[in-house]
Amino acid sequence: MILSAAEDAPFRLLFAANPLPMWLYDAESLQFLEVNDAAIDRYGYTRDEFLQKRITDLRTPEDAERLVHDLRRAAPGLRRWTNMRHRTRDARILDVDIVAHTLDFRGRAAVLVVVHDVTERKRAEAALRRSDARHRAILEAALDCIITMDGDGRVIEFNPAAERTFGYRKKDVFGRPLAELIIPADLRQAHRDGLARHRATGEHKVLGHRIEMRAVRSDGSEFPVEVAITKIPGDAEELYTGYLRDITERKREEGALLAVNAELERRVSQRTAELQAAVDELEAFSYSVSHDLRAPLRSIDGFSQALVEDAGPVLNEETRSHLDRIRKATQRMGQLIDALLQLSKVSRGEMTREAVDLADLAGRIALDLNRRAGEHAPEMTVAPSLLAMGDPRLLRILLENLLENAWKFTSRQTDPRVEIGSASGPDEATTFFVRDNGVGFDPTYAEHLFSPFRRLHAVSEFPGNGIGLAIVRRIVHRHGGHVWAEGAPGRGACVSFTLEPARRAREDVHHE
Amino acid sequence: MNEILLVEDNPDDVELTLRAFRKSNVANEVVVVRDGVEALEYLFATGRYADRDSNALPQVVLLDLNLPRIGGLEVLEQVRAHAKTKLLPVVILTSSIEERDLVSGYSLGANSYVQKPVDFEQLIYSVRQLGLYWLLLNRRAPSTVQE
Repeated sequence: MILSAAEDAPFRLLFAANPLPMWLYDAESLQFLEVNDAAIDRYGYTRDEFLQKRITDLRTPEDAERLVHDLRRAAPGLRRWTNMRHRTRDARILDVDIVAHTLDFRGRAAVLVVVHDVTERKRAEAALRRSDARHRAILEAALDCIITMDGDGRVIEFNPAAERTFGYRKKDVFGRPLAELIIPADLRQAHRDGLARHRATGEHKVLGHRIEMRAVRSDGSEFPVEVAITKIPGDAEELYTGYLRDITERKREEGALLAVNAELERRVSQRTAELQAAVDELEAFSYSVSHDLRAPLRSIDGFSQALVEDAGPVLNEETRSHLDRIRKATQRMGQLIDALLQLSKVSRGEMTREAVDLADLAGRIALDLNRRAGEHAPEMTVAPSLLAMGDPRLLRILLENLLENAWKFTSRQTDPRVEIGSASGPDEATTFFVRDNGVGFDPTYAEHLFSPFRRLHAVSEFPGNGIGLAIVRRIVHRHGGHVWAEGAPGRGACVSFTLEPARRAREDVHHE
Repeated sequence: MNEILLVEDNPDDVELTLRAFRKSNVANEVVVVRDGVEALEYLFATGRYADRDSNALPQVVLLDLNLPRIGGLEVLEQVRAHAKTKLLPVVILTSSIEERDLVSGYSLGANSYVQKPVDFEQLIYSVRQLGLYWLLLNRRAPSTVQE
């Protein structure tokens, strides 16, 4: 009888000092007979309190019933119970596994119990189950196919989206080589080689990238997929999970888009060709204007002059005057043809874009104009630097026309002045202006100024062909800018235009 | 004094140019040819001009661009391609002020490019300047001097 000598040292070691909670209870009365320190510690009752209780007091009511039932049926000997639930003094529930043995204690039938507290393990297992359930839910609900294979390339996961997309059931593909299922025959070897190479050297081409490839369904039909593959470290070996998406629809849309683009491209080049034909025609027309229309004018003018010279003595004053008018008219028509040609010239041709200093350009043009104007030359004020992006040739023609006008319309002033400057606008463009204190114009007709051959002054008053500002407008428009004029009769005129400002360094500025 | 070769198909322009030469007191004979083929036959003494002295060259050629059969620029090209006429003074006298004509004219080796003005007085002025320069002032390159 081992336990009859309760005060023995072995008893102390085996029972009282055992780290697992242990107790003895009376098989008949179910009353606690003895408890160890671990039990006291774990359940919160003092030894005296324990000895007042019966074993059923530790149980939840349903467990207590089960226990009584079990005890009645139990044959003497070793028993195990798992998944039992005990209550502590402070009403916490402990999940416990129990090992019990019947024995004789001080002449009474008793049961020795060893308690194994598995509360923590149960909790961890439950958490794991919940986590697995969450993962499972994600796999089940995912729109993308999620397929996992082991290091040998065998399928170990095949979610419902994969089942729908590929036409296989998970249970039919589990454990089969992935390559034979969803990879087209002509790509299988490359897949196997890639996997083998990866396992041998760690080298990979597809991990962590989004790639597009072909895949094959259970019925043998192929379709395009987008794939991303990740490596998942496993217990024994690495696993590979692929996320696949059927991109048939997207490919079809891309194809449609490409077709639309190609069609657009074709139309653009057709239009361009038509436009080029129109430009060529215009060019041929200008050429013929320049050649063929001038020749007869030359004849009219030349032979009128010859007539004046050869028949001079027999012509009366009126006839001479008529011949003189014929000549003036032909010369004027010659000038108009030249002006039209110039207008068409500034509308045609390639444009370059470089930084041009309009202040520098204005200075050079003014030198020429001043030579011709002599003492009528106006006093010119130019901002130190007026940088703009544009075609130097066209911008020169633009400034020539504006300055010629300014010089012309200030020629009768006693104190002629011309100012050239700029003002930064709210947007990207800079506004440049040429302002004079000349005869000005009636602002009612400001818009007419820019139409070809529209003049606000008689030719006899100020000579000109009415094309200068039309050329200015054409050039400004070709640069994507705006042009406008302000003025009043006798109060001068100001022509403003916008150009993209040059931001490049001063050294790059174009000088002719 | 060598002749001036005027290559011009427009009879009015021929008449007026001749008149301008007369009024400018240019005394050189002016030979008029009406198209590019005739101009080349004259210069190389072939075809209609086979009996010409093949070594004789005009003092200056006034060349229109818009010509029947062979155009002015092609005439110029052939003139510059032959050793005999390589250095012959050629002045383009044309209505065209097209930049591409100017550029091609000069790049093919024209000595001058003069636009025919509408104003007859300006035409006389231009012809006089041409006469002064090409007939009096300009010293011809030795290889083309023909005595």
